[in-house]
Amino acid sequence: MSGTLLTVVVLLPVLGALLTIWTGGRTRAVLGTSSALVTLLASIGLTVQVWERGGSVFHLDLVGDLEVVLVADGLAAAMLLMVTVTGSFVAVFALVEDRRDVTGRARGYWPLSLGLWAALQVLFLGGDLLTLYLMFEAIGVAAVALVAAGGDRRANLAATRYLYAELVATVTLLFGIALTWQQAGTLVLAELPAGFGTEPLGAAALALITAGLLVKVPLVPVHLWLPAAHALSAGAVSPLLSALVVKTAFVVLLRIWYLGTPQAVPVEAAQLLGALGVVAILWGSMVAFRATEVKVLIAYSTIAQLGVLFLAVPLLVAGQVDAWIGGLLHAIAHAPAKAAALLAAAVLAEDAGHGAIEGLRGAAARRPVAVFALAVSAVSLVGLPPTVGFVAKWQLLLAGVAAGQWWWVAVLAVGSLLTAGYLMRLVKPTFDRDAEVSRPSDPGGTPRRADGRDIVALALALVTVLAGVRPGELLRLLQLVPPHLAGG
Amino acid sequence: MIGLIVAAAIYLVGLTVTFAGRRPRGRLVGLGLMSGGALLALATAGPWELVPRYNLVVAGVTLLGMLAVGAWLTRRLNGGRGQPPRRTDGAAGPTDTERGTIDEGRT
Repeated sequence: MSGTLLTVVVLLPVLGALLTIWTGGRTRAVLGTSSALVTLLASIGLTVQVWERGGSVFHLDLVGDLEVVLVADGLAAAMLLMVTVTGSFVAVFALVEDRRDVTGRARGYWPLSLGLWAALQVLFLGGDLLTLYLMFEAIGVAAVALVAAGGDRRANLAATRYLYAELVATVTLLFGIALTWQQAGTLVLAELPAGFGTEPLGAAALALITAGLLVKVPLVPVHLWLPAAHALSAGAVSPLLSALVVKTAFVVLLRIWYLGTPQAVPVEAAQLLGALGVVAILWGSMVAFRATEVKVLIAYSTIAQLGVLFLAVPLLVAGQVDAWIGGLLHAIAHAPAKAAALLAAAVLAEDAGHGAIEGLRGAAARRPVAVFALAVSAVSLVGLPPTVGFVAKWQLLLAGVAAGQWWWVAVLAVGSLLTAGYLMRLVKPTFDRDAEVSRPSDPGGTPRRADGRDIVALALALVTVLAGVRPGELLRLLQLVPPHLAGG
Repeated sequence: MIGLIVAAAIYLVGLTVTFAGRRPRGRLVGLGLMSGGALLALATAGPWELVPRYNLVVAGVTLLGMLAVGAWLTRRLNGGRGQPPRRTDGAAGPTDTERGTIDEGRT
């Protein structure tokens, strides 16, 4: 595989970020969206190359001991698609917003969001621990700044807490990296010696790296920074955080555990992570049932959905390839569904004048397209056909049955029912025809023309259906892993 | 090995200060200690000629950057240098920053 496309994929968002620093007004939005769309095309090209020729590894020797290893395998390609497809829709949404009123956009939005893109892409391609660590830092800074760009004091407080959590996680990760170097003498995942992680120092390194990544995910009980940060960020920011940023640590965890040091993962640790996933599903769902604001409900839904990801871990250790595919597919499926839900929520909140669930009453009559987008994304989050959310949960169910670990199957089913229950709290009031919610701008509650943002949200939600109807390509992509990383 | 033990001790003290600290500045000090511990662990990961020095410098610079962002956010939250911390409700008592909690399910 040539490295040209890889270079384009990595550098385009960086170029876009730099250009949007020096431009202003609507030009900035047009430039930002253009770089997003061209990056999407490049990532599709990269995916086709991975399909046709398999994975490749690129070593870039910089200076001294600094080395960047990028792995363009099926996992990386699938994650790049997740970032670029979801991110492109969010960028178009922000462009449409800026065309209506550019003064409402924080000045740093475009450079920061494109910088976040670039860091996300390099992280998903990263094959060595230092690159992963640096990209986590870049993602953390960009994400915190995007939350703080919300401007008000509550957003600042949420951003500060987010940064504290990021720092604790990053420093813990760095300590684990230091131990890894001491034990193995390399930070390249594919070069970690067989048996790494079974020695005390290696085990301590893996434990610290895992602990840091769990804070970054975040998995209950270290999730407290997430709801406020996600709920208080702007309409075009929270989809980037809830759909994309939260997947990074899980994917890196799988890359390290399953591809780097597969023999070092104790069954007990995997079962414990699965159990924490169960707690996350129950706790996130319980608070989502009590939430009074739309974005708070969706933020706790994210916590519950992250719990579902961790049901794959014990099944992976039990040797179930379906768990690998199901876990990663769930991570991918969650992105467009959650982003579409948040984009629709932003439109509906603006329509209601506030973000409370109460404001959704009768919304189906006023903003039918946005409500349809919310409903379709809810179907995927619950895991119903014909969406890709169903395919992901089906793979996890198959893995649970094949491993004979029925308790995870039961949790998955209960989790889906809970998801349906709390998401129904958002969808049901929109069909309340008797709602008499007064709005100065629209006292009669008459239907409005979809203003472009509604259509973007719906189109993104329909991506989950498209990927659900034709899941073969994605499934095949997730099975493509370089043999030396797979231990073959 | 002694360097590693000292690094682990500094890291643990920093972790304790971060979680026990009630004020943002205390938490930042704790995070600074944790960072110092992690960097020391990297600096003592074997004989000096085997230490990944460029990795160490890059990690140190980026960590300092994150801590600087933390200090900037904390200062911004407290209304800038030389000004007393503000409370959103105007009453006496710890500021929102100092209290540092947002109830589950509400923002």
